[in-house]
Amino acid sequence: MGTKVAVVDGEPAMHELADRLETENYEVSLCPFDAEVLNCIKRVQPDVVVMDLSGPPEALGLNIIPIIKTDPTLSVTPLVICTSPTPEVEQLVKQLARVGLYVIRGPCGVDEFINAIEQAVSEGK
Amino acid sequence: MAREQILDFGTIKGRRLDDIDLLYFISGKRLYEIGSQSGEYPPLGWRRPGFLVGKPIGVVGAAERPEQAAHLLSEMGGVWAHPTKAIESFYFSITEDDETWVLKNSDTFVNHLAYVDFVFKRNGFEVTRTDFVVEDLPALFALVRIVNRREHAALFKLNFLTMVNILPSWFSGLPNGDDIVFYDNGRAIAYDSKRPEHWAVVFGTKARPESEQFGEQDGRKTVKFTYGINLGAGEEAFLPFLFIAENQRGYPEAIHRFNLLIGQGQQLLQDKIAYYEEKVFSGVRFDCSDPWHTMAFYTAKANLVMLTADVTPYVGRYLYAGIPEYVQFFGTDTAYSIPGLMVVDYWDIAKDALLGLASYGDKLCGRIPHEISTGGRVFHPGNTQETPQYTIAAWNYFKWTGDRVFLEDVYPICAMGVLDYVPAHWDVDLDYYPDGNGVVERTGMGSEKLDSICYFTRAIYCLADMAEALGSASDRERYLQLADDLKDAINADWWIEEDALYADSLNDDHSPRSDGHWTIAVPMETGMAPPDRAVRSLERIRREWVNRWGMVHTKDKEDFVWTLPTGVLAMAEFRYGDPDFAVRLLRNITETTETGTLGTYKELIPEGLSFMQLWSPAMYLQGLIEGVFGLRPEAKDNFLEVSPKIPSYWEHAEIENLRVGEHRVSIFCDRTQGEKTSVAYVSGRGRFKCRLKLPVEAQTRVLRKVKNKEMVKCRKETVAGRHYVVFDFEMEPAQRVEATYVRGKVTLEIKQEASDGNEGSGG
Repeated sequence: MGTKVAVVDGEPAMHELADRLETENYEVSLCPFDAEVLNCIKRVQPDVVVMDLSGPPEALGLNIIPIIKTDPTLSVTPLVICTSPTPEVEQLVKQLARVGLYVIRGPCGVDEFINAIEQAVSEGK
Repeated sequence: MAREQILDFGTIKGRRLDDIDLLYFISGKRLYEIGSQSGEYPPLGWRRPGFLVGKPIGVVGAAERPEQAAHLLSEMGGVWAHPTKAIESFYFSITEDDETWVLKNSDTFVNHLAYVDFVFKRNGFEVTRTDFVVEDLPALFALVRIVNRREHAALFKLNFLTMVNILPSWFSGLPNGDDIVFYDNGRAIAYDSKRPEHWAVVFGTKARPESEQFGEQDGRKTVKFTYGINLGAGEEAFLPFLFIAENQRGYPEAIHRFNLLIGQGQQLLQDKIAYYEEKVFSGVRFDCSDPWHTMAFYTAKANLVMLTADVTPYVGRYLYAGIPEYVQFFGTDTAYSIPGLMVVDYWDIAKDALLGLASYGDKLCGRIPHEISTGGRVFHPGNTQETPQYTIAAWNYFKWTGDRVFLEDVYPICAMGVLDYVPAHWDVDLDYYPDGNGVVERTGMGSEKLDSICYFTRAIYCLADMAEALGSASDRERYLQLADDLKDAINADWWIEEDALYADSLNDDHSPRSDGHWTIAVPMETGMAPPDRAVRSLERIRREWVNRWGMVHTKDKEDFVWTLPTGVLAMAEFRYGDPDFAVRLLRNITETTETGTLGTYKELIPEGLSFMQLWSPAMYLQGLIEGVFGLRPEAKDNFLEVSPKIPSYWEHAEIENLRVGEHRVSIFCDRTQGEKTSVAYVSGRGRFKCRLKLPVEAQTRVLRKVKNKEMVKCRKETVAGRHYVVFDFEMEPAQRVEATYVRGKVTLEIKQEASDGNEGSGG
């Protein structure tokens, strides 16, 4: 069975990523970026969660991270996010590297996402 | 493998198959246990600078960004007796014929709220581990029952494996030394090397182990006790294991307590169940035609009991704000929760928490802290709104209790905080609007926040009421004038006519600014909005801020739904608008009890962040009782106003044994034959004054079926285009006043509840 990836569906580019991941034998589930996102990700129980938080407003988008990371079933699941390299993000990376946060400092293309996912999967093993 | 999760406490029931491992929480006032339903203790805790106080890292001050802030990362589960953690994890295993069965993957988990059962089945063995916390002591029992369902005897070993972790709580200011563990007389004794005279844990069972093994794993001390057991076919073994945590008098006290309790496991469990049943199902009772809300009411009461903490002498008695991470003492969370505690007669803990905050406020010149660690240190001294919210909560406590001594104690602190500290510290441009963070701590807003000014103004109204209650008419007039002026200013400066909304902040040039935050509901919650504006504003909020789960945090930017905004909007709807919609929002809050861990009110709807959150059950109870029955108590005057706002889709609702000062009343609303509302005076001293305010059509006639019409005063009122009939009357114990509204006529009768059960006309 392929690596399970939950792609949080916030930006249109994520559909392109989902398609590409499927062609590379990842098991992909799309989760909406709304109140049900946590339930959706928990149902999937993915090996990696991927999100594009590069759309404004980033400060609000970052709030999804504690919601995911405080859930005991997801606390050690690697999280790949795309965002701008703001001081807030840099602090976040420093603090959360040990609990599996991988940041692509945007703009992010499909290749960048896939590289980060591969890194997250290999380091998680 | 899916696990069956069962919720079973009295009439509180639930059942579900789960593919994922969920958390549970059991507690007494001095100790709690957090683990997962499988029997594991996953790493919990995710504090880090930046989200410590819920705001982005860029705006967190240096004092809030200490190097050690994340030292409780992954530490918030296990067994805690604040301000120290005691046990990282424990579990059992069975070894038979060199094969070991580890009891960490339960087949069924049953949550009885007062205790939990883990059920494990394999190879003809059925093992039940029952965990509960002794209510008033730092003591945790794990009662292990092993049944041999085979047709032959079984000879095996039971292993009891514990990982010790004596650790001071987050920002407690207490030192953390190495844990020293040794064997003594069948038990393990552990203490902290830096506080040997204070912190200790003792654990074991009555029987001595066959063997004991001490080790270390991941830097923590481990203990393995092994017990030999021989069970005949169909026989069962019962072993009570006990953990005693002690954080004041060291291990001699813990040993003493262990010896006292170890033989009483079964009895103490029965005591625990009886305590929970009494707290939850006795006292204030509720029923309505929607059984979901009836169950949710008792579930909410149970949640409040579970969150009640006693961390004396460090931080005193209060309520944990959120499980597992926010167990500290929070000003805002407590203030939002006081009304919910009051309506179900949990007055003692409400008073203790309010007095606890007052003692900090006294030291901080009236400022009420945002967050106090369980060691008693102030972590965050407070945003602009905690201080006003405290005054509002203290006044709420007084309205229900009439406790003049309490009011005399806290009034000077409230007045100092609201009238002196808030303007002096936060009113940068001398316009009376506090500058700084309010409940919403987000970047990009103007410095003056809508929630801050609304709670500030409401607090000044409360101070006026406090001054009057304490006999200071001149202060009352001054405060009232100030509050009225501020209310006018809010409506002049913050209202945006073309949007039909209040601005959620003001820019530095005082221009109104809207960032879509949920705090736009606060002017209606606090009664700052004139009725016409409130109605228009609520209509827009309903349309654009509410989704399937409740009120979103930030329109078009953050769809997550917190229980807090949803509860605030529900109270606003009760005050001005639509009880049907208000009860729908309350139901949203209750939906969190059927997601994830069954029976716990969570922080996000449907699920997320804290899996138990204090203000969620508390705000639900406030809405369900204060909102639905339209209650306005004035205990100092032995008075209660009842103005029912029953949703159109309920046929009946009733609240029994509601407490107002020294009086108990029950209220029944029924619309199966017309609209019937009755108030029964259950017990109390002296006479009790009641006002019944009933919504009616404009041309309603009134009939008072009483001997002396002067006993019941009646008038008609019209507020914001709505018509009411208002009755004022006095009651004596065992009297019931019943108003029936049928076909344009309200009939009011006074009845005597005879002691033999017969009713007679008393009017």
